[in-house]
Amino acid sequence: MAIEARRLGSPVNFLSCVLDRPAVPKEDRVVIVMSAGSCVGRQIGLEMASDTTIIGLADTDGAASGAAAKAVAPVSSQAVALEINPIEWASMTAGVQKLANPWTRLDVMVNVCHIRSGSSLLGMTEDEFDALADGALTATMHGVRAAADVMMANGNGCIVNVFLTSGDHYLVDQSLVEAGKMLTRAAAVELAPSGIRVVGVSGTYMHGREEGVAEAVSFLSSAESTYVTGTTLVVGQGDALCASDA
Amino acid sequence: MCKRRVVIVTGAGHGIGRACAKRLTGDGYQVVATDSDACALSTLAAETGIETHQFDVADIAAGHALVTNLTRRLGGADALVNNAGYTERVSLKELDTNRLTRMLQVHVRGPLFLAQALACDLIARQERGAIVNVSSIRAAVAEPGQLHYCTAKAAVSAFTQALARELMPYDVRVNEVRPGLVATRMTASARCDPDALARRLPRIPLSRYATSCEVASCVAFLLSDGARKISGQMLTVDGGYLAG
Repeated sequence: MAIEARRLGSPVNFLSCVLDRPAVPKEDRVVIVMSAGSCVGRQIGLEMASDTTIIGLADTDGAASGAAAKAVAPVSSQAVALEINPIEWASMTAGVQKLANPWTRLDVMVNVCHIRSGSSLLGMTEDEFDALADGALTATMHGVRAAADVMMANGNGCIVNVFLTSGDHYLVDQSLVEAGKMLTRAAAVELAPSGIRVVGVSGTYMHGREEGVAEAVSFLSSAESTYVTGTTLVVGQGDALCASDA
Repeated sequence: MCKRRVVIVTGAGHGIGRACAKRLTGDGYQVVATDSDACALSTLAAETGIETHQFDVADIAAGHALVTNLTRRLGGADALVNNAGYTERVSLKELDTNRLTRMLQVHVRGPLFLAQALACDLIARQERGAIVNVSSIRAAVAEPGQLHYCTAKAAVSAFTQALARELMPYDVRVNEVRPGLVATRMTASARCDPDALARRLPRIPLSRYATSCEVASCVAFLLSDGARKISGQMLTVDGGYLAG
C-alpha cells in the first residue's frame, strides 16, 4: 500500500507520498552479508548484527561463515552461517532462500567484493581476468537478483554492493569497480518501482578502514537513507584526489 | 566533561537547513543557525530554542565575526553545514553580471570563506572538525534557465574536493551532500504545477520528492564519527535521479 502511494504523483496526494516511510526497525530486519568470513565482510557482519535480530553470514568457505556466526553470537541471538558460492547462481539462490523463506522476507542484502588482481593488464591471463570479473560482477549480479526476488514480494528492501580494491590503481581493478557502480546504478533504476533501493560503497581495502566501510554500509541500509539509491559512496580520505600523485 | 560539539548551519530558516538544525540538535550538537531571513530565524528560535544569527552568507566579515564569537563564548565551532542557497529561473538573454555575481557570492564565495574561517580556527585550536557542503544534482545535470545556479553548484562540488585535500593533514573532513528534488519552498511552484510535476516525477526512480529530513540525515551521517574515514567525497541523495 505504501509503495502504491509513493508512485502516485499528483499534488493532492503529495504529502502522503513523502511521509509514508514506514521504516522497518533495525531489530526486525532480516539481513544477509556476503563474504562475511573475512576482512571487511566480517566487520560488516559484526556492525549489522549489533542491531539486527536475524542475520545470515555467508561465505564461500563454510568454516569461515561458521566462525563469523560464532563471532557475532554475543550481539545476535539469531545469526545463521550460510555457505554460498556467489558465482554459482544455484548456490546463491539456495542460500538466500534458506535464510529468507522461514521469515518470508529479506530486508538487506550486502554483496561484498574484493578486487585484487595484483598485476597490470599486460601480465594478466584471460583466465585470471575472467575470475576477477566473475568475482566482482557475476557474484554481485547474482546477489542482487536473488535478493530482489525475495524483496519484490514485500515491496521493500535495500541492497548494498561493496567494491574494494587494493588501491594500486590497476586497470582491471578500477574498471571492475566502475562497472560495479554502473551495475548498482542500473539495478537501482530497475528496482525502484518495486520499493527496493540499491546503493554502493567503494574504497581501498586497508587494515584499519574496515570499520569505516561497515559504518557506511550500516547507514546506507538504514531508515536514515531512504532517499539514497543508485549511487556509490566512497569511503576514503581523498584517495581519488591523491591518485594523480601516485 | 566533554563540551557539546558546536555546529554552524547556514540557511537554517527554511527547508534543508532548518531540518539539519533540528536534526543535529536532536543528535546532541549545539546548533548555531544562520539565515538572512530574520523572521524565519525567530520562528526557529521560538520553536526549538536554537541559537540564531541573522546575516547574509555573502557577507564574509559577518561570517568571520560569527566564528570568532563562537570561539570566545563556546570554545569554538567544530562543524559547519554550508547549506544556504537560492535558485531562480533566468534565461541566458536575461542573465546579467549582477545575477551571476550574487549567485556565486551566496553559493561559492561566502561558503568558501566561512569554511576558511572555521578551518583556520580549528587548526589554531588543534582540533578536528567536519564540514558538509550542500550542492545539487544541478551540478551534474543542467536545467534551462539555471545556467548560473548550475555553475555555482558545480563550483561547490569542486571546492569541496580541493578543501578536503588541503585540510586532510589537520583532520578536518569536508564532504558534499548532493540532493535531488526536495519538497521545500524552492521547489514549491513546480510541485503545485501538475504539468511540471508530471514532467519531473517520471525522472525520479523513487517517483517522489525527498523530504528535508531525508537530506538532513545524510548531512548528519557525514558530520558524525561514523564517517570519520570519509573526506572529499560526495553523497548523492536524489531518489535515483542521476542514475536514471
